[in-house]
Amino acid sequence: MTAGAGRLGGPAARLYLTPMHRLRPLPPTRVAAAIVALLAARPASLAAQAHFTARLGVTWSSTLVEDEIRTDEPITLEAGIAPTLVLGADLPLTPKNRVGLEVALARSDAEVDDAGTTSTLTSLTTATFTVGLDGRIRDPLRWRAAFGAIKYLPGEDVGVFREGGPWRWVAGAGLDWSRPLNDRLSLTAGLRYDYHRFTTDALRDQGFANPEAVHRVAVTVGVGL
Amino acid sequence: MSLFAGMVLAAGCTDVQAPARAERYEWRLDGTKSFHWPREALPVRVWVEDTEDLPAYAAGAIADWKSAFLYGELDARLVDDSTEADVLVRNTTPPASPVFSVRLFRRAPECQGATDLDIDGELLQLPVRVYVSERLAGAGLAACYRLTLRHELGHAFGIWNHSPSEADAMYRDPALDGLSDADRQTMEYLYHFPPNVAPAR
Repeated sequence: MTAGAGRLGGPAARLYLTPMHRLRPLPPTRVAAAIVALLAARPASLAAQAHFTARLGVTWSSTLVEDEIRTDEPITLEAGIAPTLVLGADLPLTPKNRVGLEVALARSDAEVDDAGTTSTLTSLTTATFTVGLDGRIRDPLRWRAAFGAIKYLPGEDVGVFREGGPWRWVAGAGLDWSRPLNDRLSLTAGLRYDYHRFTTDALRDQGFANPEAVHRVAVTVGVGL
Repeated sequence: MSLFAGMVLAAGCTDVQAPARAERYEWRLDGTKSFHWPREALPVRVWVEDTEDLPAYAAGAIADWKSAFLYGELDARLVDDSTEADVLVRNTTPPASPVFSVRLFRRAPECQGATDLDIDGELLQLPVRVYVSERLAGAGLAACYRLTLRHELGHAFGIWNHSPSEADAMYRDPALDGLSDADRQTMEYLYHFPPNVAPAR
């Protein structure tokens, strides 16, 4: 979600529909819908300022479930290190800030560690959709804060996923780095952290009172257009 | 940004609580012999005689028992080849003089069921043999088959005892059409209890 400093020049100012101090907070769904509509419409002036990224990397996730069926014999369910594809699109919001959408797909195995014995429950894909705001820290670094939702897509409806994978709210933050390759393309790298609380219908049915706090970190490299 | 900050703060308040699983009954044979299918033996291959809708009842019973687990501890599939099966389900009365060491028996007015376990010391000789058969034709026969097959497969999957509670599917003459919390928690727990009987061919 990086942008070269040159993209935020004078013409972008004509796109500011409302000064920042007059903006009211909008629900993420409305913001997302507005951005999608803008990107889909792609008037020439917007298209010229829209910035797209595609990156590949890996995502690490903390434990999804901690359990103990027999005393002192912990069971954990983890997603493992997941190869990740991130696609992003953003638009200028102010001279310093951009707003955009990011979709991250990460695929790994859901692995059970049962008192030291590891086994695979099923394959697991996560699709994360976020609406984010980013801004320049210092060239070539930008920060990003985002909010959205994560969908778990198990390969098989089994165990904790026997009633399917859940949707959960997610909040995140990150850093982007970019370096121009030519007039159009840039090399970009992203570091992302996000947080959500994991549970499933099967876990609730089994009496799990609180969702598990899940922290994820992703490192990706790709190109910007 | 304030929403984001709030969520980060909320993260620090999360406290994970595994549920108490206290509703279980004695599953061991004679209070000592404990068995479950090891991970490397999964899925358990179940062959079912194709009469009286038994394959459908067996598939439902397998799904019911699998739903007791969160981590894939048990998996079972119906198979077409009886010679490769770990569990055989036949629609007939149990033989009077079979080669077995333990028979877990269930009799209702409409039908009856039995599970024969051939236990030799610390080994369970496969296949496990399950019998279900009609006693009284009528409207209740289908439900009886369904309950009985769920009960007998409970034995085949590791509950080598009967529940003392009428509210459980593993009661010796169950009326429950489904699994109780005690049935689920007993099955789940025994798959985390060190077995002293292993399957063998």
